[in-house]
Amino acid sequence: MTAISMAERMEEMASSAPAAEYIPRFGIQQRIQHFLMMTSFLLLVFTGLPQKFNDASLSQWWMGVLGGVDNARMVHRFAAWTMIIDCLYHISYIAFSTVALRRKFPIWAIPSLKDAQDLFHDFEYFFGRRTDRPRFGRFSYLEKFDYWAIFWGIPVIAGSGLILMFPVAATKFLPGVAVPVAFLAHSDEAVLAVLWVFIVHFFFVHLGPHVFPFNPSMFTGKMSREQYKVLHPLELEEMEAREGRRLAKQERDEVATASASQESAPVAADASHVAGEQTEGQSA
Amino acid sequence: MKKLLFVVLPLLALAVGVGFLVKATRNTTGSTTKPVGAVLDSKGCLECHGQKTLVKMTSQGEVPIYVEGQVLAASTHRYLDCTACHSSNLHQGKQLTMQSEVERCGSCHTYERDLYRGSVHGQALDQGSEDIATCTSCHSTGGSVHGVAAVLDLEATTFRRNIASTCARCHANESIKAKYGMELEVYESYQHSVHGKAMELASNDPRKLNKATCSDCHGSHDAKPVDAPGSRVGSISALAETCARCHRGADENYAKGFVGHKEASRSYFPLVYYGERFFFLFTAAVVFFGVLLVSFEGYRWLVGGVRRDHDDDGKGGS
Ligand code: HEM
Repeated sequence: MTAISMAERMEEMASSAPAAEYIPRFGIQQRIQHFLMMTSFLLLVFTGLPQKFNDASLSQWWMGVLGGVDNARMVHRFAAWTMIIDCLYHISYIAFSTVALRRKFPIWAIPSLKDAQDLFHDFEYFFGRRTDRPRFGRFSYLEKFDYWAIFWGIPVIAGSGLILMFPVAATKFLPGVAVPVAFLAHSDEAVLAVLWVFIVHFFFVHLGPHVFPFNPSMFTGKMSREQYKVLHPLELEEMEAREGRRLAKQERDEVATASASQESAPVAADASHVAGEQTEGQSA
Repeated sequence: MKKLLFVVLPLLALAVGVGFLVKATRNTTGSTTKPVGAVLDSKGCLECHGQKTLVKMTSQGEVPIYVEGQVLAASTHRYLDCTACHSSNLHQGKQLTMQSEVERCGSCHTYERDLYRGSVHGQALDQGSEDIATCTSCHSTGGSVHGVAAVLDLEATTFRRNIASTCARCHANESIKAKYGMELEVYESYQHSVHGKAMELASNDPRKLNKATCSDCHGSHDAKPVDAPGSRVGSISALAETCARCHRGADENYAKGFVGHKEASRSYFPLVYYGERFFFLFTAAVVFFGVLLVSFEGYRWLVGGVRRDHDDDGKGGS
């Protein structure tokens, strides 16, 4: 989700005009990772929750449709492996892009002091003490929370799930009590994940202001410039600044090559033009 | 032609899929309509005993001697004459007592009778208990001792899925529990255990009902108290063997992780006890935080930003 490389995006940026309607936000890799996470999560929820709430007649009806708990478990286990593989894919993808491709490590996903300040700022807004909202960079504090919630949630839920999947094998090297503990951890963590995703994640990604009723950026990979300006203004400014510098540099280089082969008079005029554009780009 | 295939094939797939779903639903949730066969009754007992009003006068007053023909007809014993269990001398027949019932059933089902005699139920019967389960307590359906059903009958009280609720008729009955000092919530805890959940949600295919139920660990005809000699759950080593009957390779360490019917507490499975509390608080705290943000955001969105009059940046964000 986060490991998008700035360089990769700048390349995409370069091919579009600076005032493009849409800003690229997620690369194909991130979109695949999110899609796998989303589909496996939904399958896990719809095959897991009825097992937790076995008393409910809705669960019993749904299990009847699936042809019994054994089928549901088969699907649950298949989706579980999909999710585990997706996570390994994500980690290897970050490792590969930073180590092998030498792209920048995705530091913009790491929580910082600004996130705490932004949260505090939002509460001030909620309580009517401020009228402006915090201005976010590539990821808001909530987006970071979403990401890191999965990052610590998956080891708990997948670890406990694997113990439930192979209880006898697990107790060959863990104490027997690991099984009931895994059972309750899995069950409760699942409820937490479901509540968070269906209430908080959905609200802030799709139903909230500026995005209602649906925000397709994780599927299309891009977001409109107006939305970007509202949701991630700091990052947009940074992008525009870079774009300005890049254009300026490009022009300077062209001028440099041109001046090498041309007479002095037109060059001076050109150079002053370039300098003007450069300062403009930096202040944007 | 090819185009036609593109239409027909998906439709066919859809039809098969829907058929599959419908079949699956039927399999598990449909109730069975039992073939109600004829009753043998070669001596014509039901002529009179099939009438609701039939009573006999005893020293204790009127005793109904009506037998429900419907229940009998649905029973697995419908081709046995009444005299197979009651006296073969017409009108010397007696209502069976708990003891004579066990002997009557046991005259054919000898193996089960012998096991029962040695079980906690059989022994309590010998000591004169009147609350104790005899054959028909578990094997009869339809609210009548005459409705003995085969164990593969979906509605039988001894159909694998129904065994727990059959045991619960006594073992989760508050007055019986109080009278005999049975303290554990055995049924409730089973229903929320992995075994109970799986059994409740399994399909009706008997091969898919291979989840553990009461009788698998405690015995059926030979049911024993946990601490009785020969109990399958009396010690960790016995428990390990019992677990291993389904969980291949299970050892004593595995069995030690079985919480059983007792609730976790500070001294009994403290890790489970504190784990439950931790996860509850943790979930509550995180969800509370999330819901708080959602409500505030939603509220401000609907109501609008504050002090809009002296600030043009009133409505959030831009
Ligand atoms: C990613 C790795 C996961 C693994 C390996 C896994 C594995 C398992 C296993 C083995 C079970 C026991 C039932 C069975 O034998 O199939 C189970 C139950 C369950 N799982 Fe998962 N699971 C995973 C993820 C999830 C997720 C993401 C959710 C939901 C958000 C979830 C929700 C549940 C629920 C609600 C139950 C029933 C628990 C109960 O009965 O109280 N699981 N899981």
